[in-house]
Amino acid sequence: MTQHHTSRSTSHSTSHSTLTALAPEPEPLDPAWSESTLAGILSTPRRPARPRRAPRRLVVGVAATALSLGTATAVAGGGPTDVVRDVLTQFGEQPNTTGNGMGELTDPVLVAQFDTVNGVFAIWMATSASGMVCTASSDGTWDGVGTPTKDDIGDYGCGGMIWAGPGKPPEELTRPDQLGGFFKDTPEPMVYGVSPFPGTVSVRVQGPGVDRTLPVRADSLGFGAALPEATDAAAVTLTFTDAAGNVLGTKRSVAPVG
Amino acid sequence: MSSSEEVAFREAWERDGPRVAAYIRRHAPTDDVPDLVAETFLQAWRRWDDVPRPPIAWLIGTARKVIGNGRRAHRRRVALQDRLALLDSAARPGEDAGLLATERMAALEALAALPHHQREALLLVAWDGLTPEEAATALGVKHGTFRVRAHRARAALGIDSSHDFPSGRVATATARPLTRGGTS
Repeated sequence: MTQHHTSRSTSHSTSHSTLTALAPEPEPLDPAWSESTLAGILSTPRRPARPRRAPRRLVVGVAATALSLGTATAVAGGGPTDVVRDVLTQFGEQPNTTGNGMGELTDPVLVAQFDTVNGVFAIWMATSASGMVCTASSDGTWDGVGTPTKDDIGDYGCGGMIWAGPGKPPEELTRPDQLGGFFKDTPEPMVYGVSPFPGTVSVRVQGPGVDRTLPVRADSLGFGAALPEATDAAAVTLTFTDAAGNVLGTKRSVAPVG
Repeated sequence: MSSSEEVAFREAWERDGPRVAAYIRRHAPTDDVPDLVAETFLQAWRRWDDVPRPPIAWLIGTARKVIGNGRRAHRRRVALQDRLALLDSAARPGEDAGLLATERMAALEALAALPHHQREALLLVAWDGLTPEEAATALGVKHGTFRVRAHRARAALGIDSSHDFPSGRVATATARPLTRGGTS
């Protein structure tokens, strides 16, 4: 195998010296940009140091509790979903965005919120009167407790084209269950999404090194988790089940390759 | 805020900002590089107490995540030609590298054709100047996993295995002016 590989690669080989010769030259930051940007960063409030992490299982439990409280608070007047609604509404009002013409948003709902090595990842979705599917997410900037600020919602939008899998043409985002997937372009693999099957209560995630069952939210049918054990998996299979344990369907999710 | 923390952060910005920018440059369009660098360091500043020292592995790991946010937003697969264009933009010009244009392009094409995680493992060390341990941290994988990826990348490129796991750094950190793509 090695012999064959070495032989095959002779005509296309890249030497170590060629590789290192291509390493870009060091160049300093542009002084004016650097100074103004640094000043802006330093004027941003810092968050207190995190307490040492509890075991992951405990952290997830706490996050789930906070999540329930947060959702209830949102209905009562002010909470994560209200912030998400504001962000998406403002997005739709900006000129030349994919949110133009969205009409009235339905209440945003949480798809998933879970702990990652870089903090809390949370994603919400909302549909609109004109049939758009909109999403908003916070990736490591919100601590997952209480209400995020608008600045904590770092990624949001409506509709657009989504990657549908290897060899498939991109699809227009028109349904919530098109959201998410299995991702490995992050410090640790993660999976999240929305079940296409009403009545789903859990989803089993299986792949090389991965076999775990995640709860599915009743309000959004959303689910998600970091999968640090999935480093060697190129894809996972999702099996959706109802409260009686019946399999409602399966879905294979392939990690995009960048 | 304590002044010592601000001093340490400023030092990290000046020392590691160019390295982070160089890393981002081969993953994102030039116009996006300044914003992505700023977002990476903003996240670092917000949790500066929790950022390990030296911070370069954490910063590049965070830059990966920041870039990943945008990629998830677009949900687009980066095509081979796009990857090649990004590598071409990021790599040292042929005349500076002492390479023929055809030699340079052949090397970049070989890099672009590698699986993403193998290319990342290889270039974090060879271009970004991380140690294998730092690169594994930046990728969020175990050191053994990193070694396998780097080895496979080198094997695919036909690089002698004696270069598999260099000790220490093999390349100097990199950077380009962040205003090149427009920052205003």
